[in-house]
Amino acid sequence: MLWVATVVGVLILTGRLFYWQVLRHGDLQEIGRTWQLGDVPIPALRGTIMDHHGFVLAMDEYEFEVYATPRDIRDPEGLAAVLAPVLGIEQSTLTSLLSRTDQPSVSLAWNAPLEVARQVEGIRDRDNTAALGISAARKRVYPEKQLASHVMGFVTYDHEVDYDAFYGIEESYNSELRGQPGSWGGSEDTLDLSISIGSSRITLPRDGQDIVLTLDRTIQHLTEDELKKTIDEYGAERGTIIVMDPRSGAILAMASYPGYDPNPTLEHRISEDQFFNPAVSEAFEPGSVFKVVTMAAALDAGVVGRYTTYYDQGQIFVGGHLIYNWDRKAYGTTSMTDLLKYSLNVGAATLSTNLGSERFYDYVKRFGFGQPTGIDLPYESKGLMRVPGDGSWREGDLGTNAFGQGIAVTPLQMIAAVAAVANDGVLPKPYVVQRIEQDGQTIEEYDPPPGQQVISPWVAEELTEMLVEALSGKENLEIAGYAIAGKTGTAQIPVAGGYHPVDTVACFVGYAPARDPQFVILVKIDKPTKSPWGSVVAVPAFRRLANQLFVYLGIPPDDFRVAST
Amino acid sequence: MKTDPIFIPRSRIGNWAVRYSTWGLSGKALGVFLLLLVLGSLVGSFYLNQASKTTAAGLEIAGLTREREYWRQENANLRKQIANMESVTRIRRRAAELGFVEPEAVEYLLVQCSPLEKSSSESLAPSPWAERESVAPQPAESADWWGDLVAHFHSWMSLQR
Repeated sequence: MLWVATVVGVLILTGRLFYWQVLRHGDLQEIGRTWQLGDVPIPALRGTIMDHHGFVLAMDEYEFEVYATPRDIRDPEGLAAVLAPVLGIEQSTLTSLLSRTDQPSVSLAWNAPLEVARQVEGIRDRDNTAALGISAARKRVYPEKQLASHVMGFVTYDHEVDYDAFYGIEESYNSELRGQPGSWGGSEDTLDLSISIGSSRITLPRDGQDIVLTLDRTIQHLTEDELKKTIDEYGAERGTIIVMDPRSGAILAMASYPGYDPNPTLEHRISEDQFFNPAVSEAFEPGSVFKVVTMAAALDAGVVGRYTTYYDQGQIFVGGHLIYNWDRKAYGTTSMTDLLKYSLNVGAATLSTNLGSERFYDYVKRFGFGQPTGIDLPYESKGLMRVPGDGSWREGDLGTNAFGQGIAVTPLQMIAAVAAVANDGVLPKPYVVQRIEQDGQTIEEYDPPPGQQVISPWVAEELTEMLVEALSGKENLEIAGYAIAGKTGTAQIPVAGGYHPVDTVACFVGYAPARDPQFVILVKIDKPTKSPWGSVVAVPAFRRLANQLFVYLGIPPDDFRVAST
Repeated sequence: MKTDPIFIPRSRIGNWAVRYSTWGLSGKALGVFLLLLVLGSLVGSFYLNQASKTTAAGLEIAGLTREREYWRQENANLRKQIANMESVTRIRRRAAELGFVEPEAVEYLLVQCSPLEKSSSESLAPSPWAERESVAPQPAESADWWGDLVAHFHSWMSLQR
């Protein structure tokens, strides 16, 4: 009997041993490792975003959490007296925190800068106290504050390894900027404090890639200054200015007001609407600046020539829709240049009806309207364009679209279309990232693809001359020595049931020097209260900005350029 | 010759291998045991040596990683300070404090026959008029042609003499 009981006991014991030692071996080993080994994350620094010249626009810095384990503190008052001046916390508050022995650890400072962290380390090493701990975390810093905030976007850190990136370059290039965090694995004691000896696994972090933009921070700064000045001067609500290199499509500046400071702060909340970039995400009715597209189409299709005239009766019926000139006047026999000079809606509608809907909308599409430009920024709008065949298109649209009414475009689409005229008829693809670098080495350089030829170079040259001539004599646009090509626009703002009786969008798109274009500028000012007109509100902003760009970019006057070539 | 059943030649008594230990182990087994002990000790000391070296190397790596983090933090802090110092807002403010003003216009002077003229004109983007100008008659070319002809004539004349 005893023998049988022994055998059964041995078998049970053997079975249990087999179960725990063999069958559950893997699980138990994992549990043991989890308890004994801990991974301390080593955060990867997010890549830096720089302007065209390498000036930092966004970068990561460290901030530190200082914490203490009250059970290990013998003299809370003494430690509080030493720490108080370093952390900038009242001594009594610190003493009460350090005396909370019911807590395993207490946080003394969440976002201490490096200097403070180093001083705390010094106190810890000097007093040889294990009660103080310092944990590093990252923080995104934008040294230029509001500058180009809509292009940059922002990042939110949760004081751990992970974070989220929103809007702008931060969002669209998140995978390149993010990097690969590392870890520091080793044995830990029951208080989760690391044991120096024993096995340890170290994976070094790989920092994110750096991004170099096409933006020039000086041009961006000048642009934002000019935008703010114009909005203040004319009592406007909002506005956008874009500066582009027409030859490549590189965006030199992209500013919208109001902007925001992307540096993290808990002091004030920012409305979510402010995060969207109006230059790429917000469509508006462009008004008369769109006549550049209509005229380009008519010239390229051979419907009219530079010196063609038409008889302006002051009104025209298109699809049962009566169209007037902006001043309700009739201009009689009018040249194509005067059509642009006096911004005649009747003339523009005459051109579009002569082209016919098929050819007109074909050109409008060729200029990039009704589709995203493909810029490397998120949330790009494709605008709103009704075309024949859509249920919503009416014949009257052919007339109104010709002068930029009943069609919604983004500021970026509009500037790209005018840039095509400046660029010998080739539509450039706008872009903001010039190259991506890792550890100072270029790993990807953006090479702008050859754009689509939307009109012939000859037509582009003719239209440039017409635009220069149309603007001649405008005193508030004159810059001595430089020819400027461009078009003003004053667009009504659509509201339910029609157009707002007072509010307008004042706009100007132009390029300079007209015969050797180095930049295109679009100025769009929303709801100016002092004057509704683009020629009054937007033109001076263009002139002042262009004048500064001539100096900054070292562009000599036309006569000097021609003489030196 | 007298034979003793328990006779053992002296020469064989002297051989340690056949002697018995006081614990009942043969000399051969003892030898094997000692050999294993020595080998075990060697392996053990080798293992301990390697383990201590690995631990020391691990500690050094941990120290270096800590140091690397330290310098990464210092580096990031310095980069931030530089970025703040270079900020365009700060530079503008500082320039204004120092009495600098923004240029409103630049005067360009065209220097004729400057040795830099050619290189500076090359650096500028070509004007749309440049092509038209190049189509126009080139007086310099005709002068070169006449000069070449005169030179040939003179050389021919000198050969005739």
